[in-house]
Amino acid sequence: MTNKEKYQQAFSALKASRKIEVEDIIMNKSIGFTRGIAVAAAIALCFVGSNSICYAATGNTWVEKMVVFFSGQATETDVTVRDLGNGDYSYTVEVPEDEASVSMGFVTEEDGTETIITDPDLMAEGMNGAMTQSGNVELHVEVVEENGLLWLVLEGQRLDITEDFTDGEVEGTFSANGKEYKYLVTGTKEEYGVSVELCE
Amino acid sequence: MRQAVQELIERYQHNLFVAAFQICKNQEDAEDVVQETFIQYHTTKKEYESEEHIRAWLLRVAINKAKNVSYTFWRRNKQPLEDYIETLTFESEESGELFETVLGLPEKYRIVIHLFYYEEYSVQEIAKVLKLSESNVKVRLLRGRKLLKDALKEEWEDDK
Repeated sequence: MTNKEKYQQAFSALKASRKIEVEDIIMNKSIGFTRGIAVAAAIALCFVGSNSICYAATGNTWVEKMVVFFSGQATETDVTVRDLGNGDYSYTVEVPEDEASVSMGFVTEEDGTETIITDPDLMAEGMNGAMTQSGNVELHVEVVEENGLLWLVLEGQRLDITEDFTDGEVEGTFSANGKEYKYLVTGTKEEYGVSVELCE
Repeated sequence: MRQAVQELIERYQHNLFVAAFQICKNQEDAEDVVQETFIQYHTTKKEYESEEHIRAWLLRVAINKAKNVSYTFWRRNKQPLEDYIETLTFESEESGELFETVLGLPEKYRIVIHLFYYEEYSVQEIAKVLKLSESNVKVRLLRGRKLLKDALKEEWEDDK
């Protein structure tokens, strides 16, 4: 057998269990993640110690206003929080019909405590963009997600880093203000770090 | 040109599901991706140059949607991949080993390998679907093949 035949035989084992109905497609009836209620029961985040967000830890279920990223845009929305009783919480958020992805503003504190950011200003500063200093030039650097692609925006220049960022690290060079810079993006889409250095 | 959704579902549902699974590694997520892809085809009033153009577009959208699902913070309760693989029936032990080895490759190699060996796309066609340069595709293909060869030894031939 050729490699192609072996490969195709191996992946022929995959079978979808759900039948797609044309009527559902025509009626735009999505049963997927990107529409309707997205239940995040699997995302049971562990909050250690006191946490200003999860102040109602004794209640079973409550609704909080939280800042959630919809396709990269920070939006304050109602989030239903459920106390799972073991220090873990589940979160449920209603996802707008036209949104491709959603993520929470979420950071890890210095002591390792994980905290959901609800302050839009902090979110904008810490999650949705970064100002970095390189030499005497202040550069605006931002990672944004649009239409399923991840873009590194450097001084207005857009670089598609979707593929390379899957490894959690992407580096390269770009020119701005007549100078050549080296950039390095590390982390995850939700929590990333960008460093920019002037090339020697 | 456009084609009826029904025809496209019959023709490409399985291929889109397998491509989405390559990224999501989860059956339910991959099924959602396929459904969303067909909805996008239906709601996007785009004209295509050929059937091949439609196929490439569907694959491209499915791959992007699968990445969206994979990267997003909100994930459904997932069945562990190992448990799901246990439910699959492979024609041979080697097939099962190849399946698991491919899914263990880094994503950027995995999807290129998949489009080459499963969809039988050329390097040039993969570059168009993934919006990568041809040299980038070649490098990923080369590295992906090497990883497969290292893992599978004599079960994987050296491609010319």
